[in-house]
Amino acid sequence: MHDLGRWADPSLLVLTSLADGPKHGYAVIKDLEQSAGVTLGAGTLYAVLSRLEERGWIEPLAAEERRRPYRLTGPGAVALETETRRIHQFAELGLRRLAAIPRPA
Amino acid sequence: MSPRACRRLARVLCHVYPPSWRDRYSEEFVDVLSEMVLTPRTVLDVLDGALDAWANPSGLVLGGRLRLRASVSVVWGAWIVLTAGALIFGQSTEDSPFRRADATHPVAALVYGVYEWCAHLSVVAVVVAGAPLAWALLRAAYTQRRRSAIALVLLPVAAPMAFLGVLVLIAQAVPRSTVPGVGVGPAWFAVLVVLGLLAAALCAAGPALGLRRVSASPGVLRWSLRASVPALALMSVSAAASVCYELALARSDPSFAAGYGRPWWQLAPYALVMAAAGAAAMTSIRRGVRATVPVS
Repeated sequence: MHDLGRWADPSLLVLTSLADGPKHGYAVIKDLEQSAGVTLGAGTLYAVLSRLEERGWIEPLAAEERRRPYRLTGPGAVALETETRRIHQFAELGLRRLAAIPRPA
Repeated sequence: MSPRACRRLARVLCHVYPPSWRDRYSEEFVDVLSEMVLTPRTVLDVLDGALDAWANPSGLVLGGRLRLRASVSVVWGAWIVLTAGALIFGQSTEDSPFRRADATHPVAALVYGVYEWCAHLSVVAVVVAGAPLAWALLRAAYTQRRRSAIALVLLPVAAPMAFLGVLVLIAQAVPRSTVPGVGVGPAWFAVLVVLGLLAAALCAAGPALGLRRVSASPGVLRWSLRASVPALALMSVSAAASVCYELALARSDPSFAAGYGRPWWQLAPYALVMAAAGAAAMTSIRRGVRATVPVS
């Protein structure tokens, strides 16, 4: 996921949002606003969606009127799991090291 | 803002994206955008996304051979623009005052040499890049008996020759001014510039239209696209050197600049057009190359 460069962070957010079930673009934006407190712009969202779709990590479903939902694919789930485990491990390391620092009373 | 106005604005914003991207995403993108509150930040985000879509196109939205064909046409057109600029610059600096100034300003003379050498080498490079494609197109056009396609592919040779013929005729028919450096006078010079630009436009349009009438294999298109990079790079260096030359002369010799130098409002548009042509070509090469790379 690191080779996505500046789109890596929003990609992780979008994959996490789609892990909850298929969503169309605006639903992804609203979900991330509520769950992560992040507002993705439409330009960022579609830059990310096209990259994730190109990698086969998400796939479009049949359009509902003008809205096209996307869903997480198997390889997308693997990529999301790998990345979230890596972040989790790093967060645990940070917390362990923080715990070892003597704090002023 | 009313929902209808929002939707209209969203459609306008969508048009900053490449056509191939719009074919795939425009409906849903406009739908998402018209649901959002349009702020300057939203607009900047859209512009950033559009810039990314031009520079890093998704392989999903690029049709391989069509994209390659479009890229070859754009690159050829951009090279013609750069070359026309280089020729106009060369024509406007060939007078003896410039050469005398070169003798006393070695740095400017060196920069002028870079301009000349890079321009000449670029012509060689573009022949190397374009010859296999031109040959393939001519063969296909001949086999399919498409005379118009043959004429279009040969326009880059025919148009400059016709222009040179007209140039010789005008030079012989129009009396030359007795003032040194004036030549046929400003009115006829303007006519020649217009005819030159027309010839350049025909040079650019011919192969692009020819490519639409007869098809070339992706292999030949890919070779032409990749091989055009040195030609473009050399012509871009030549254009940059031409701007540097004028700046160097103006800086090192204010008296020369006062007599022959160009004011910034003449140099700036030239520099901008050259930079835009170079940027358009490089973007198009990137898009063309991306279209041929298999999705991993």
